[in-house]
This record gives sequence, C-alpha cells and structure tokens, in this order.
Amino acid sequence: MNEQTEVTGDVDQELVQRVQRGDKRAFDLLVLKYQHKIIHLVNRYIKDAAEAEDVAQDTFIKAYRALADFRGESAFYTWLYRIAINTAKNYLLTRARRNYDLEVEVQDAEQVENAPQLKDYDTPDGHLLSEEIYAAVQDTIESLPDEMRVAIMLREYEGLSYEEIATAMDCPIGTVRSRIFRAREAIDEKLKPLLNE
Amino acid sequence: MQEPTNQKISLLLDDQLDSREAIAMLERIADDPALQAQLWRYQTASAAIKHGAFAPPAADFSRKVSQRLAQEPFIVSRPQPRPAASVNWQKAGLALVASGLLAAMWLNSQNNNPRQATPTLVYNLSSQGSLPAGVNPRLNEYLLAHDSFVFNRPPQPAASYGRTVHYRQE
Repeated sequence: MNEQTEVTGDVDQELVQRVQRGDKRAFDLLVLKYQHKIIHLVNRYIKDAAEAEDVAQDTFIKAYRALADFRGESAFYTWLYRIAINTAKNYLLTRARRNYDLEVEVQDAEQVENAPQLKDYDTPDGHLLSEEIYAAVQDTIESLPDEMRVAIMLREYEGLSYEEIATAMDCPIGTVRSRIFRAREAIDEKLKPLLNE
Repeated sequence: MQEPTNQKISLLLDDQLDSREAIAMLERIADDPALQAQLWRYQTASAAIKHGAFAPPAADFSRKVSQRLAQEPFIVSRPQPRPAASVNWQKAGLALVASGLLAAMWLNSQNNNPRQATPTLVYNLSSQGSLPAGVNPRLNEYLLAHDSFVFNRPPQPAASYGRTVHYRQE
C-alpha cells in the first residue's frame, strides 16, 4: 500500500467519522472528491448522461443513508463503488421491467414512437461534448513540452506516485509537482471555453 | 494568489496533501463556487486522460446532491456490536479442571483442620454467680462492658442471660 492510498484512506476515514457524528457537510466533501469517479463508473452501465447522473446522485444519497452502518471494514471508496454498481444494476432492471410493461400497453395503442422509455437515451449532444473534451485534452497533451507531457502521462495513465515519477524522470519531487501542475493548467486553458458554455 | 490555490487543488487530486491539509482544502472548495469549478475541470481533464471520451457530470452535480442531502435526516452512527469473543476451549477446560482441583483441595483441608470460629457463651455475672471453668474472665468482662444491650435494660433476675459471639483467641 503506497503513501497516496494511505492519505486517501485517512481523509475518507476522518470525513466518514464526521458524517457519523452528524456532520452532513463532511459528506459534501466526499461528494466533491468522488463525483467524477462515480459518474464514470455509472456511465459504464448507463450510457445516457442525464440518467447516469440521476443514478450517481441516488448512489450518494444511498451511501449517506447507509453510512451509519459503515464500519470501515473496507475502504470507503470500495464501499461506495459497490453501492454505485448495485444502484446502476437495479436501475437497469427496473427500467427493463418498466419498458416491458409499457411495451405491452403501447402495442395496443400503437404509440410506440411516443413512448419516451423506449427511445435511445444516448444523446448526441452528450456524445459531442465528451468527444470535444477528449480531443481538446489530447491536443493539449501533444503540444506540451516533453518533460510536462511525460510527467502528466506517468501520473494519469500509469498511476505512478510523485516519488516514482521523480525516480523515473531523475528529478526532484518538487519539479514533478510543478510539471504536473503546469500540464494541468495548460489543459485547463483549453477546456475552460468548452466547459463554461 | 490563484496559482498556489490551483496547485493545491492539483495536489489534492493526486492525494499529495496530508489529511489535515486535504480536508481544509476540500472545505475551501465547498465554500467557493469558483474553486469548485476549478476542481471539476481538473477532474474532468484527469478522467478524459485516463478513460478517453466520457460525459462528465454537470458542473452543479455536487450542489444538487447537497440539496437532496439537506432533506435527509441527520445520521447517528449505531453502536457497533462487539466482535464475538473466540473461546479457547482447551484453555477453558484446563481452567475448569484446575478450579475443581482447588475446590477439592480446599474442602479436604477444611475436613482435616477442625479450627473453626467457635461460638462462645458470654456469661452475665449479675445473674450467674461464677464463671464456668475455661471461660476467660477478662474477655467475658470486655464483652459485657461493650454490650450496651446488657446495661441499658433493667435487670431481670429470673432470666439467665447469654449470647453467642465469635472472637479470636487473644
């Protein structure tokens, strides 16, 4: 177990304990920390962005309700991921059942085209945005100076710690910190106009 | 001043802050919509690098969850049940045998040693002229002198009086 995992564990544990003592705000911090990871996980099961977001919200609310019984036997994020997967699967089951019921009803009424539950939810707009984001990120990474590109790739693609990156790049850890930050800032400059629309 | 803050957010994202700093930073972000947007963009970029094209959550996702959370009751952690104590049957058996053995030894020693707290009669000399042989007169006096019951009651000449006490040998 590396240092990063320990820090994450400590932060999560502290926040979980605060929630268990009645501090709701501490849960907001956990939401901030894990929102993207949960959305990405739910997206694997539910392609529609709006639906995935609803399910991700439900995941966090369910986690909050169940937190009184969370005993820390597993890491918080592992526990949260399990809730997210179960919530997504249950959602798909419910939707499939609902669609089946609806199908039986609408067949008689010949209104299949008007039944929103039977439409493809994977919206083109959502696709477009995610493709644009991906393209902007890739373009920026390609245009970065070598040392910045390597640092951010080792961090994000390979998941290396700062210490490991420093060893791999044969530079001080402060330099790694700075390179990764500058790479992020460069990507951010490209993303701002896309995401602030 | 924004750059050090952004750098801290970058470090937060990579779990490079210690837990106290990380929580303080998260609290700052939660209080500041601009910092929330910054974190959200960094997270989006990070997810795009790691996973390719994917639809990020809405920028106000955390706010929506927070609003729903506001309608939830406060949770109070339930006391955790104690883990079931594992019984070492071998040790428990040995302890039982040992205690049985000790009890048997003690009973045996009691039977062989008749030394017991002997009940003693205290004789009231006012109603009984002399002490029987074998009674320690000083002890008898002491016991009488410290028994307010004897002196507070009017003398009853007809009734011989005695009481039973335990005492240790002088």
